[in-house]
Amino acid sequence: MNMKKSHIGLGAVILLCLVPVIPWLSMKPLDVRFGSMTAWFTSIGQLSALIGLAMFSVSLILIARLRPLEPFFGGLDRIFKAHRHLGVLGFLLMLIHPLALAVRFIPLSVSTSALFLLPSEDFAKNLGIFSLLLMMGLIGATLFAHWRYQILLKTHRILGIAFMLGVMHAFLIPSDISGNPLLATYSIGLASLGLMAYFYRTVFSKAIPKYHFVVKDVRALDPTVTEVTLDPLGDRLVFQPGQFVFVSFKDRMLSDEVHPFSISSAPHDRELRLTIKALGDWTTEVPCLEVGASATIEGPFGGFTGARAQRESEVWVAGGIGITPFLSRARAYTRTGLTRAIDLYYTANTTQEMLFLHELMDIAKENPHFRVIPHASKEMGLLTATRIHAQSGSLASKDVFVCGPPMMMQSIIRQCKDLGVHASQIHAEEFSML
Amino acid sequence: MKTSFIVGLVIFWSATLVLGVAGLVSYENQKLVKNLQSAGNGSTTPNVLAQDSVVQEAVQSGATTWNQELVASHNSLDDCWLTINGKIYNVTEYVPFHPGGTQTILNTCGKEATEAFRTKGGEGDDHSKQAYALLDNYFLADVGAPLPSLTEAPLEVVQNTETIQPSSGTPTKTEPEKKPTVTPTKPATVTPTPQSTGLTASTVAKHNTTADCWIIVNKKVYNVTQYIPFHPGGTNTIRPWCGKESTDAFSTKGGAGGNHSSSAWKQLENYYVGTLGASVQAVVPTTPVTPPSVPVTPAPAQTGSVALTASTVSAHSTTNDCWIIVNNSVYNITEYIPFHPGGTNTIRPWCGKESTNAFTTRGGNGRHSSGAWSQLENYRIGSLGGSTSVVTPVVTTPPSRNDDDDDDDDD
Repeated sequence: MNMKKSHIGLGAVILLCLVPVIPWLSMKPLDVRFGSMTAWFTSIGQLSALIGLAMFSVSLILIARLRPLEPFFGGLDRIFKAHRHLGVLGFLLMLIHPLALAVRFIPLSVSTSALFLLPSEDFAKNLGIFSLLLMMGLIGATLFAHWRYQILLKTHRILGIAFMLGVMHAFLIPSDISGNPLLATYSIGLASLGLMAYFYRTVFSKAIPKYHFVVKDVRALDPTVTEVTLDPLGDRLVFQPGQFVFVSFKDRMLSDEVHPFSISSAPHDRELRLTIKALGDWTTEVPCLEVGASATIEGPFGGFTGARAQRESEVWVAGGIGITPFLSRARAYTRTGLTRAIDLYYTANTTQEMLFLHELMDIAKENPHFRVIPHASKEMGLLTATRIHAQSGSLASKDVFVCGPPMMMQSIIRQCKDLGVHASQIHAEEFSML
Repeated sequence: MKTSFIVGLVIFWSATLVLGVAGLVSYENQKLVKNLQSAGNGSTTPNVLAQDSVVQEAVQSGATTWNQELVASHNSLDDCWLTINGKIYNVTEYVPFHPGGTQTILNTCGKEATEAFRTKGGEGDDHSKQAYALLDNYFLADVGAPLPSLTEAPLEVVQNTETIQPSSGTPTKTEPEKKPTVTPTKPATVTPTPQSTGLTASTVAKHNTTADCWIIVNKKVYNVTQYIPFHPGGTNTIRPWCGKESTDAFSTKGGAGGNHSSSAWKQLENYYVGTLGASVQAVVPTTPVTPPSVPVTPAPAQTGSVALTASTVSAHSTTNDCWIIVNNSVYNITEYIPFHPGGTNTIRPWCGKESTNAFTTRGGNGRHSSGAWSQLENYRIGSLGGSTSVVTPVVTTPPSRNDDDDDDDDD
């Protein structure tokens, strides 16, 4: 039941993007749409723009961190994944759009065809060209530039403006599409929703409901990992163990950037604990955070929770700091008890780097269903699915949860699939970059 | 995802680059042709549609001038005329390429569309300059320009096309080009002894020699006698079709390979006699016209030993008297000019000049075929610097191209 629900979102996205094809097809007979080379290219050019525009619109709606949407995708991480794929796919379609429309002029004249791609006196066309070039630069930067996270985020946000120019282009340019009220209404409607989502996130971000906390403790667990304990100023945050929040601090030392972190405390704890590893510029500064600084939290988000488990037993695979969502879940079981068998494979270079090994071992002692299997990869080599299979028995009847560095997650997922584990049994915490 | 982004970008930019370079090359070529032509007579490349038949059709509809009524009957996507700023355009060929869609044009087919064009159907701004330039290619005539009267023989229609437009008072870009290509055919087709006979297959069948050759292409009858010697594909390929239905042969180059070029089709129109089955006045045997009266090379007038130098050549610098220098040989190509597949205007600027480079590169557009090179040899009158016995300045002998052709054929 839950499985199905988490697929509704994706289905709806595909539907939303493809729906405009139907009125487009019904506008003219097919032999007109695809009667000649020129007609073919015109049609390809129009369709790519039509679907691409819908994809961008939906992509913008998805990135707005709308919690009501989460159940339909199975967590914000999956929504964001859909956002990224839609974005790149939409962009590729947008590349086809001008090329196809230019190529159709070749039978008339090659120079007309080439000229079509250049800016001209046509304001609407120029808008489109500018929008596409802007997108190229911005998406390229998002994917490849090694800038600071916060700068990348801001760069990425300008894409919303590129999208806006693209939308203006779409409705100023005269075409079969803007001439059809049904298509125009649908596309404008979807694009408006996307833009509303965009403004909700950017201009009106202050109006988004948030929780307020104050920093109660900052503890360096080792040179790279810091645990931040937050005390709620108002309502406590209600969450499922395994979920994450977006947090920002008002502090003298730390800039007020917004970053996502898994919650490592249990839901029944009064305080909220975040365990943060120094991976970037900002996270390196976290140990300098002062007690008493105020924290603003948005969330909780994510579907990397026990709710995803459908089978009788579970295998957890944690790599390094990837332990945090499991930590929250294990801590929760000290209160709720555990009826299903869970094997936690805790892997790091050495056992010293397994900062929570002792606490987890203690929980395991109390709970016969919960086993902790440490795996120091420096001594034992990288953890493999075969090893898990040998230790925990057939994975066929288990849910596998994986959280850790992206490379490690991909490797474990691939190995599990090679062992015949169905994709629906494998759950990965997929927010690698939000 | 990164890979697909990179692959997408690479494909996009390579395609754009290729298209850009191809576009630039073809644009430069067009510009060159235009420059060469404007050096000649200030005209630009027009798109002369099957204008003769268009005119004929217009005349048959009973109209005396190019008017909106005439335009109104061409109101479908397959046949779309419209009027913009007092000019009539036949945009049928362009319709499928319209960025705004075919439907938007359909609304204006057969109508006065100035406002619609200026406002993009009331929904937007004016069309770009590029769009206006493109429109010029489809120009037919000015509104109000007179049409030839029905009483005139349809044959003269060919001649009339050139007189119509100038008389409208607003000379347009399209008309001047027609002139040079038309003239050479006139002596053959214009001297009709009008008889009221229907053009039938059997009438055509009588003209079945290379000295008197009529062919039928698309139900139209053409007297191609004058053209035969200039046929790049040779005389023998035409010979079997004289007096016959040749549509297939013409559109497949005798089954040997693709269609003839559009300029070949255009040239064919210059030899139009009439439409098959139409009970119109047709030309009666042209046989007496064709025999050569003035042989080319050995000019009868005054011959003498003239030194062939750049300056003597430069005296022959008009299309009525055109010598050129190619690879140190001097050629008198006056007779050939009207038959030049590339048009008269491309040759005009080179008359009287050193043209090796222009000939070798086809004015920068490519190169001439070996057939063209061997044809050129027919017009050789001597070597530069040599003192060959040549025709004295042609000034005295008015161009008599058509009559000379058959001599060349024998070469």
